[in-house]
Amino acid sequence: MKIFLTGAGSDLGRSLVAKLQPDHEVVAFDGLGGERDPDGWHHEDLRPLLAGCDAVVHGSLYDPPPRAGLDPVQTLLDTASRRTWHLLTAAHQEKVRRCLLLTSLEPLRHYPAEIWISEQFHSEPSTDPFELACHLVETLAIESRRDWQYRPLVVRLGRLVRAAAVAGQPFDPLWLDLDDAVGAIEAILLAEEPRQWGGRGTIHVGTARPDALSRLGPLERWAKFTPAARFGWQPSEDVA
Amino acid sequence: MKIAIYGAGGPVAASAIRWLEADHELLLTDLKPFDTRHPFRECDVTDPLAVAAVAAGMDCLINCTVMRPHDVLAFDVNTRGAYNVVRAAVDHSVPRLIHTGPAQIFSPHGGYQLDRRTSEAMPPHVGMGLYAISKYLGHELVEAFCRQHPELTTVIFYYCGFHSEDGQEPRWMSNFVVHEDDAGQAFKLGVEVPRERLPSNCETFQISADLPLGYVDLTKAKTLLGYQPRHNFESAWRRQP
Repeated sequence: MKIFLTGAGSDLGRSLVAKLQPDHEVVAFDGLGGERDPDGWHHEDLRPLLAGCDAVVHGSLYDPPPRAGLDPVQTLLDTASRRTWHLLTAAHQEKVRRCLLLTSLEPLRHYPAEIWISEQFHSEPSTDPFELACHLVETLAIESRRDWQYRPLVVRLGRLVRAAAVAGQPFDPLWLDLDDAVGAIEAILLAEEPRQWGGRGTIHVGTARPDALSRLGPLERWAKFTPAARFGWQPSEDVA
Repeated sequence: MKIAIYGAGGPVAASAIRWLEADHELLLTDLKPFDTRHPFRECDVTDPLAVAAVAAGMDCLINCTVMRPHDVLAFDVNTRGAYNVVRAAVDHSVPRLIHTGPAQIFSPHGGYQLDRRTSEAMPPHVGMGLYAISKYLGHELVEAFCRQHPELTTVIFYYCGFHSEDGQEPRWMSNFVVHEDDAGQAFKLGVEVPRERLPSNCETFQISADLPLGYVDLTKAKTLLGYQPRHNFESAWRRQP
C-alpha cells in the first residue's frame, strides 16, 4: 500500500512511519514550496503527490506545520480548515481509496459522564483550539460525504499516553496508549471496508475498558483490533 | 452603543452604517482606508492582535468581512477571521456580536434547493464549495464560543443575493434575495434587540425579501426582531395593470 501521511513529525506520526514503513510505501508530507500558496497545501500541488496513493492518513492536527506569520493557534485552525479542505479536494479528485482524518475524542468528553459515547455522537468542542480544530476537520468530512460522496473516515483517538509513563495514576477515561493508536490505525487502513463505517464515517479508538469514554464497536467489529493496554484493569472472572 | 464594524468598506456594511449611525457611535475598520466621516482604523481580520485592539472598549462587534473566490484567503478571512472576532469579543467582554454569512442550505448535493419554507431550524447542508464551507467553519467556531460564554449575545444573519436596485422590468427572481437597505435594517434590529427577547444567547436569522415564492420563512426575524422588509422586488413578480 502506498500511504500519504501528514503530521509525521509528531510522536504519533513518527510511530506510524516506523510501524508502516517495513510493509508499505509511506510518503510523509508537511508542506513544501508550491506555486499557488506559500506552503504547498494547495489541491493542485497535492494532486500529483497523491497520484497512485492507496491511502491518506491526515495527522497534521497532532503536528501542524508552521505557516509564516501565524502563531500556533492560528496555524492549527489553518491546518484544520484550509489545509484539510485542499487535501480532501485533492484526495477526492485523485480518487484515493481510503482517507483517514485523525481527530480526537477530546471534544466528546463534555457529554454527561453517565452516557456511553459512540460514533453516532457529534463533537461538541469547547473553545480549546485543539478541540475546535478537530471539530472543523469533522465538519469537512461530513460535507465531503454529503456533497462529493467522497467518504473520508474520521478516526477519533483517545488522549495519547505511554502506559508505562502513567502507571499508578488514576485512570483517565480518555487514555489511549500510543502503540495501540498506531496498531489501530494500521488495522483500519488494512480492514476491508464494510458498507458503513459506524454509520457516520467515524471510528473511535480508545481503551478497551468499561469505564473508558467510548465503546469500541466498529474498531473491534470491522477493523478487528482491540487495544491491548488496559492501564491496570483486568476483566472480571465472573463475567459469563 | 459603541460599535466596531469589521469589513466596513463593503456594500452591506455601508447599509448597516446608514441604519446605525444616528443612534450609535461607530468605529469602522477594513483592510484599506475609505472615505467616511466616522472614525476609521485599518484592521486585517486575519490578524488576531489587530482585531483585539479594535474590540477593546466596544459594546458590540459586527463582522461583515468576507472573501469569496481566493482559496487561501477565503479560509483566512471567513474561518480564522470569525475566530479572531469572537475571541476578541470574549476576551474584551464585549456583550454583543453580529456575525454574517450566506444561508447554509445550498449544498450542490443534498441541499434544500427544492424545498419550501426554509427556516433557521433546518440543519445546515453546506457542501464543499469554497465560499460556503469556509464561512460555515467560521460559523461553527462562533457557535462553540457562544456555548461556552453565555454572557456574549450573538446574532447571526444569513443572507443571500444582495441587490441594490428594485428593478424596472420583470425578470427571473432568485428564491433568496435581499435588498441592501433591508440587510442594513436587520443590523439595527440585531444590535438593539434586548437579550431577554431571544430564546438563547446565540440566535440565527434568515434575512430576505418577502417574496410570494415562499422559499424563505421570515417568521423568526419578523417575530423576534420586528424585521419588515421594505424592498420586495415587486417589479420582478407582480403583474402590472
